[in-house]
Amino acid sequence: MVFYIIKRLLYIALILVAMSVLIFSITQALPGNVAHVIAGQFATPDVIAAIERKLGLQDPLPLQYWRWVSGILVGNLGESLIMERPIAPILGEAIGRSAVLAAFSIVLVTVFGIGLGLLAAIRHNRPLDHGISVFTYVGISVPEFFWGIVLILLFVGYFQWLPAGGYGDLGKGLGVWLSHLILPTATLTFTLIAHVSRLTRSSMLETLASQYVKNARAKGLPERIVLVRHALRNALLPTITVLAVDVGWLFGGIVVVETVFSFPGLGRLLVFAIERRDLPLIQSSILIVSGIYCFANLIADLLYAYFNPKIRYGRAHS
Amino acid sequence: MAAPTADDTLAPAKIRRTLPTSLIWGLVITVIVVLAAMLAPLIAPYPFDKMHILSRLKPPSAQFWLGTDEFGRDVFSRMLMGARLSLFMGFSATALSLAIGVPLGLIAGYYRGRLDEALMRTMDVLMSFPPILLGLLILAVTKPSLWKAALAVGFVYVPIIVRVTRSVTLGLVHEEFTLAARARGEHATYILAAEILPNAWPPIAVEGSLRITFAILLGAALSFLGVGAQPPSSDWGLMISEARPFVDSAPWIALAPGVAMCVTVIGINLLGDGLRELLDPRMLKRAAP
Repeated sequence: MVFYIIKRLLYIALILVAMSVLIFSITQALPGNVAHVIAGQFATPDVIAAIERKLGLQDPLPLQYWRWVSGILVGNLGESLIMERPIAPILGEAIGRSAVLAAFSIVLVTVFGIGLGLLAAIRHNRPLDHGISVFTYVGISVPEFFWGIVLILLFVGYFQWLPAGGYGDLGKGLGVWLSHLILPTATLTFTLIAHVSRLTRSSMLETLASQYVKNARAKGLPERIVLVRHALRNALLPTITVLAVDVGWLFGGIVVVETVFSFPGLGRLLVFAIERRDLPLIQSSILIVSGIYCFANLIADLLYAYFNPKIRYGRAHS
Repeated sequence: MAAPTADDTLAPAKIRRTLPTSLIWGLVITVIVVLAAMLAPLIAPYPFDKMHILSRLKPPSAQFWLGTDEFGRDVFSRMLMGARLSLFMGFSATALSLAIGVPLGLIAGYYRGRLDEALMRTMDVLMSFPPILLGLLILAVTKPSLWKAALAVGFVYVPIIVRVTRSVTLGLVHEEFTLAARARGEHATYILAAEILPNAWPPIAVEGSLRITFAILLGAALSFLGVGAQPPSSDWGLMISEARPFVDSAPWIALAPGVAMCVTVIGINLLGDGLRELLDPRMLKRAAP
């Protein structure tokens, strides 16, 4: 297991290097380079040349790349062109807010996604199952940004219970903080809950039809024990992998949802950076998000290995 | 991998007397959406970008069936024209990812070795980006437009198609018909195109049908974020984005394209599910034990 983790970590490091090269080379193609952005529309060629010299933009590309990457390794992400502040603290603050959103969402998706899926499977072909199926079908078909707007329409416009967007500082009280998180979290989780519960349902149905579950029932075990001890553990294995994939969705969803609710997190920062062509900010935030995504996938793989007795990584040939 | 077992081939095909319900509903909805998209210029009461300056933000009425937006443009007409853009996004992006992904997957699975390794590791890197981020990254460097967004979405889904194609190919390379073709001295291109591809297509088609709705949703999200279709385009994602400031006072501007998109996606999803149910023999058996 330790061997496997080390192997995976090395692989992730390689992937991150490749990603950084890719991000760097794609962003190099941005029309109107950084100097133009800083100097503004009416800059003379002299001014631009001066800025380029100052930022080292005339150096060969590999050198520029190395400067960027080595900076990241020591925690120096460079400076945002638009905000004219170091990127690291800006990103840190945004990551913190997005992490809260993501954490709430992951917990909700796990609880409700698996819960609804199990409920549907246990009540297979009864009204409850059909109800859940319709709900989840709509869930996977509604784009997040539209769902978010419907929620705003209902809870902000009609009932006027919640704020339309923005961020409530924890200093202003727990209620304010929470009230700004409810709608973004609900929006973020809707699609994913639907997705996870559909998978849990089908995998649970498959497990319930299996021989060992029939066996357990034939032994006369109470249904509760059959479900919990025999079926659940096996049925949840595919769900864990799916949850990992969904963490990736979550990162995508965060970009959209934060835009809908003007939530000042990582996603909104990225969209802001792209709108303003803030090159260093784009590069760093995309790399950081993708890095987090890689680690989330690793954790999911490890959990999968932990829960699945059939898999013991790294021991097969030793 | 999905090589037919004796069980699959020998069992008499169970022909269903009734088509799956999802297929019927999916077909009905999809046909309506496609017709609406095709006939949009004929059905739409007004050109999608015609501004009625005196009737801005008007609620639905006999004159404007779904109301008007902030510029006095007819929401119903815009919604109809948006169907074209949405379907264009779904189908062209999927076609692109198939066009790139299938040949790459075939080559990787057939030749194995270093080429395969290099290709698949590249795909790993691309798949390590969350899809929307890869799309944003690609689109950040260009002047945004709908067709560029379609290219980006197509590109984002290439790795998945490569993986699926490769894994089917791996299973078919050792089949007897492939070996026979090799023994005949056929060219690799011929073997891939005429022997392997015809046998590999069902899983690829299933994956492709899934991609269509993913592409529609991803494309709309990119337009919503401002890196896809640009004003005055009537792309549904863009329409919803433009409607945001008026959610309180004129909700119909956002609701019309949103509901249209949901209906479209549900229709195509149902159609895909129905087709899978109809075509996939394993699912048939499960349904009738």
